[in-house]
Amino acid sequence: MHKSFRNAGDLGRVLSEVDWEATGLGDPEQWPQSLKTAVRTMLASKFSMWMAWGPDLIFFCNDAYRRDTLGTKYPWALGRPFAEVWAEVLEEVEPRISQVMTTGEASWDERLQLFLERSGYVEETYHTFSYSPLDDDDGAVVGLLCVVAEVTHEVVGQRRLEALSDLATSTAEALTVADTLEALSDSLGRSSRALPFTLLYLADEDAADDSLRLAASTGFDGPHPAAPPFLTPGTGSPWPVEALLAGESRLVPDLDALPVPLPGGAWSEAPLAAYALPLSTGPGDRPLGLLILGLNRYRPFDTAYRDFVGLVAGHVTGALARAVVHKTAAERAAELEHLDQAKTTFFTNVSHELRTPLTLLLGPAQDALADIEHPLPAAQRGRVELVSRNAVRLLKLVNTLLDFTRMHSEGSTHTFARTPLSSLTRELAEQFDAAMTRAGLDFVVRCEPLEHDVYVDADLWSKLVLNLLSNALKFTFGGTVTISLTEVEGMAQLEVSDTGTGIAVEDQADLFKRFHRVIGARSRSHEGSGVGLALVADIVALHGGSVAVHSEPGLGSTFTVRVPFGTEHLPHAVEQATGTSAARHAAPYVEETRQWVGGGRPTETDAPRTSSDGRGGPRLLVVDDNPDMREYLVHLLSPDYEVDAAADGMEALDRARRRRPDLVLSDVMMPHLDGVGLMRELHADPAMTGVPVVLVSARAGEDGAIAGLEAGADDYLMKPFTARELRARVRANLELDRARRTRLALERSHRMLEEAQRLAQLGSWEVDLETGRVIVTDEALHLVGLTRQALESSSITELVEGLIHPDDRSEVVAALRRAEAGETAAYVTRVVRPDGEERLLRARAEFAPADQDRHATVVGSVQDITEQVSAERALTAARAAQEAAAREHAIASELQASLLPHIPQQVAGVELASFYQPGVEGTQVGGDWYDVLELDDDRVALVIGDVMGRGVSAAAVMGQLRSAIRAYARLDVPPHRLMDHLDDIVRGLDKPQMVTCVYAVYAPADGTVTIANAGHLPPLRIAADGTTDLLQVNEGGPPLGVGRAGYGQDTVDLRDGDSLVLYTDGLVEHRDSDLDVGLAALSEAGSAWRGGVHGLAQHLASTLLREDHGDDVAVLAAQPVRRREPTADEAPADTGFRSEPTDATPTTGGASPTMTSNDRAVAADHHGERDLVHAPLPMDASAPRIARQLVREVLAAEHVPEDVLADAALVVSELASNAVRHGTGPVELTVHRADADHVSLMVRDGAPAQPVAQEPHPDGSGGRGLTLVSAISSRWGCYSHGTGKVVWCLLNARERQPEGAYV
Amino acid sequence: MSDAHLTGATTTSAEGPTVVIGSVNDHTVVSVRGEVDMATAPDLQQALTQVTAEPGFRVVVDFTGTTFIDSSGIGALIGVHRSVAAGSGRLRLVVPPSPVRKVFELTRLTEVFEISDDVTTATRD
Repeated sequence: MHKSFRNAGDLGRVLSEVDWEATGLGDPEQWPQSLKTAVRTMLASKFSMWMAWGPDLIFFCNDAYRRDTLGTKYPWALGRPFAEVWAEVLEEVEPRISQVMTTGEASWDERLQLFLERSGYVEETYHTFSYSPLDDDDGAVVGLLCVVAEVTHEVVGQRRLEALSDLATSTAEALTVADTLEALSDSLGRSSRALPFTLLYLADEDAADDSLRLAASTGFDGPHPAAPPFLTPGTGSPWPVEALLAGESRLVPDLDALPVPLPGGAWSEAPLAAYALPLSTGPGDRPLGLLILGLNRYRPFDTAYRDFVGLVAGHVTGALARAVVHKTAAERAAELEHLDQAKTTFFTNVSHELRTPLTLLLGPAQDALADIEHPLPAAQRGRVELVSRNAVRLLKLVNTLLDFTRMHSEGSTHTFARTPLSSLTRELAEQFDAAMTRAGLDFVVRCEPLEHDVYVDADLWSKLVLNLLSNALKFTFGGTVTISLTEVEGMAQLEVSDTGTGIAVEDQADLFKRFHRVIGARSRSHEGSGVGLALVADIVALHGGSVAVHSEPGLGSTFTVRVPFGTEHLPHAVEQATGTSAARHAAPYVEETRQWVGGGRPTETDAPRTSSDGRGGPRLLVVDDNPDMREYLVHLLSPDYEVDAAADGMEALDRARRRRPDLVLSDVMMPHLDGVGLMRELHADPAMTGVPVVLVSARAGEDGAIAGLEAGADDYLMKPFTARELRARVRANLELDRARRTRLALERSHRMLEEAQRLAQLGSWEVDLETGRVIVTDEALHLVGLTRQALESSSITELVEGLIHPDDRSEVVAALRRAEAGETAAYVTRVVRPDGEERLLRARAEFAPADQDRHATVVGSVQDITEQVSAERALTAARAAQEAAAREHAIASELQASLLPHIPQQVAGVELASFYQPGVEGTQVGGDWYDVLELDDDRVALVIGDVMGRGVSAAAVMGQLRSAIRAYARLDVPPHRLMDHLDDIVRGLDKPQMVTCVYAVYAPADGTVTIANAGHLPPLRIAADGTTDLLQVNEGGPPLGVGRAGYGQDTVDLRDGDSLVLYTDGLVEHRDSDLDVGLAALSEAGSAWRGGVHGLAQHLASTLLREDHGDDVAVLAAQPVRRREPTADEAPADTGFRSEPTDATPTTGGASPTMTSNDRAVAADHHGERDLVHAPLPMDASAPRIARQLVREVLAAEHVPEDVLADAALVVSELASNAVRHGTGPVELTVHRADADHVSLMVRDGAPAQPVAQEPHPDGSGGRGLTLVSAISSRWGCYSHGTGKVVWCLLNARERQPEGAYV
Repeated sequence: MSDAHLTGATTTSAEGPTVVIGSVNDHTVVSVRGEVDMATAPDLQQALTQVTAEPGFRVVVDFTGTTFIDSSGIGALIGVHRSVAAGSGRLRLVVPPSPVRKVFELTRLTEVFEISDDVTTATRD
């Protein structure tokens, strides 16, 4: 073997056997040195290479190339001219070869698609390769070397991955089957290389047999014999339908034998094979359908391809199954809703259908009986009395039946509530007083207060009592009826006994069965539904109690009802009673008994009473699910108002609709329908327009109250509140409402006046009723936009047809008919002019009778009110908006006032002063707050904080944090730990909020203050001698919510005579100057102050604030109470911090503002705040590079200096790397110009975790990124965004050297 | 660097190789070109692993041609620092003053590695 071919294994043997003389290269021994070297080098390389040499470019390759690319051409190819070896791709590569051979310049191609014939078929392959020249010993280019990597698997694999991911994303949002199919078609159509055609058949639900319907297809332009609209097993199609329906997948080969070629998708030739799969949701399930996927003929159908089509089928099945489930759920919901509606409709109908005619029957009959002027003759009276009695009976029967049906169909609607059973029963019994007296019976009522709580449905209990009393009255003709309520054997016992007819023993057993009536018993009336006692039994059963009767014929009967105490026996949750109206239930029963005992019209004592003292006053509706609170509210308000109460929103809505309240006072959190929901319902109901709603919330910052205010509650009250406050709020809101109504009334009269003025411009018209001709004035003609000729040549019918809006025609015709019949008809109608313009006209029409001169006519007027109506609408909308804004403002100011504590002049050993002023834009509540808390050992905690943003939601967060701080302070949690807790709270908020806070604890015992700072401005210490320090906390941390546990704290001296000032950024930040300037001014102002601490806060504010300060300002100043003069060796105080070690991991993600003094004068420029770029980033290693490019481009366009560009590129590279490495997609980059001096970079990703700057790991994999970010940026941080997070970083965008300042 | 002997390219990106290994004055010189971030740092890591595999290595990593580096690149260097610290060889860096140098300073790698301004200084014994 020639030594050039040695060490090349089998390949070397093949090369040795080539007849080299025939190739024109001659004996390898005689080859030029350069060829020998080239061949040796190539053969030795593990990297895939081939080379060609000589005029015929004789082909050599190494083992890697043989393995990766040569395929079946080995060993044939070796020693043959290149043009012969790769004849099939010669066209593509020829230009590259000649370039190398003629110019000696190397070529470079990435992922070039080549169709090779090396595997017995034409194969789609991809190669990244470079051709470089090979020189002979004289330096002439006589050959070329190709270094090549075949990347077919990468390219094809990537293509398939993309297809799958496209499939997943495009179907993710489709809910219906139709949408899913459309998304599937779109997505599969985009994958026409991997899947030249696809057919999706779904089981046809309508078909009786197993036939399948073509639901989606891709690749086909029109009908195709292989894609029939329906597939049925056993009928001719290329697809193995039976096998597929049996759950098997099949490769369908030889598709080229089909008479009509199948679509090739991205390829010019038709596929040779397809793969057909059943869409199975689970083993053994009948497939949803079939999926037939055309296969790329240029790729082998190997395991990878098979896996791919399997995954495609899986995706398709998943998407369809999801859609089907959704559809089923939606249909089921619709069905239930329909049923529910049908039921409701049925009940409504029954009540209307039966009650209305009965009422109509009863009314005239009773009128006739009561008529004194035209009394009925005796014979008629008897008949009419019969009518009346039976109507009453029927009405009660209908009511009872309805109650009964309801009890069985809507069992869950009963409300079991703790009820004052004794007073309710007494009240019910009292309704019978008059009737009993009239019947000549003694009526004894003995209702003792019960010692235990009884839970009943008050409505049902009323029915029970009334039924029993009514029965007693009915069957008793002399003696006594007794009703008593006592406690017996741990139960409430109701007894109704009479000295009446009694019941035969044989009848007693069936007494409580439905429709059972005792035959032949003597009674006051033979009327009765036979349902009464059955209802009693049902009611008792529902309450888990028992009912029994003891009766002796001729002596009387005693009915005994027992109901257990407590709630355990009840079917569902119980509530507190709302106070049922006994009178309401009693009325029909009493009315009925009156018939029996011969009473007349109802007397005053029989009439239903309301128990409210404030009768006639405005009506309030109090809604609260807590019975104690509800009773309390009712108790407080009933002296002045007529108060109605409801236990939840649903009930309240019902009551409000029955009788419109003047004001609704509602709790926020309630079952069924909460306060906010109730308010929305009321607002949506036109009948409730203008009813003010006042919400009562349990604690500050309750989400519901905030939502309610933002949804437009008129006012809110926070528990606990004083009685005086409650009354004041209610009165104020009623007054407001009255004022609004008064104004509306005024405006209405004003409009009427204007209308009168407009009357002059009325058009008039006249219709001749005999000829149908129409005569009009010029004004009217103008209004409808017709020529006189056109109008007068038309009949009234034609005019209505031609002019009136189709929807209004019938109304107009009806109005004209009324006018013709002699009424005055007024109506508003839309007129469509011939030019298409629609106008709103108000018209009046009346009849004018005929006289000698003329026929009968209808005469009328017409007026254009289009503008008027739209102006009114606009006016109303504007006024509503105005009122809403004013309301918001009023609430905001009050809330702020209520949230900021009153700071006393001195607490324990500290003298205090505070200052708060809203900014000029302060139409909304702000988020600044301060607080002072007394701790043990005379220590005092000072708090200042700032929730970014305004409005009630910022205030709510502030309230929440304030309460949390108070709670933690009480536990004596150390400052840095407290900050960690607050951090947790802020992170748990629904909406991301940026909050900064300082918590400082002053300990008089050792004259120190311990400070933790979360991204807030440093507190200012003013020493007794006037020197100042901005107290930067060593291990201070970023603003709250970033979620890196481990805030630090520092302890610093605060001696007698020193002052500590906490403040919010509004004090030192001005839009047109640096923070450093503001801080310097603060120090100076503090240093200059010579008065006591009480004037300090005010002094700082008045020195530093300008009139137009935009932000809220809060200042809290504290000074230890001077106990004695400091001695010489105590002052000046030690100014150094004593850093305390904390048990938290030391971190370096600091985010306190840079405060290097930099007193440069900077001309304001005009860089406004705006987004410079907002772009998605790929979820791979290329993201950092792309992010850097984008950032460099947009910042260069902003003329940002070079060193800032470099910093920005570094920071964004880190943020993007982190997002790709630790986050999930999608990743987005936003570059934002914050102001003239600052640029912020934000990278958003889909993972909720918070970034943490870590101690760098020794393995070097990470941990340094955020350290770099924090080293470079002014501030950085993180907040939640949707399900993911945004990591942001603020960069100073000006040149670093002051003298080179960019202006 | 006419006597340099180029032994390989480890990446095939369109901008050309990120890392080129050569030798100068008996030192292996790893020249890092273009931008080093999470996409290209593995190449650097691999090259560094390779050249520090044999005990007694004398390696200079030259960042003269580097236009950008972030923490991913720094991570690659930290990875190799252990074998240097273990005394199995010598590794010096060439980082001329530039934004890249600033990253080394911010991450305090200047305190860990010997850093020179040019290759000649670094390969001098």
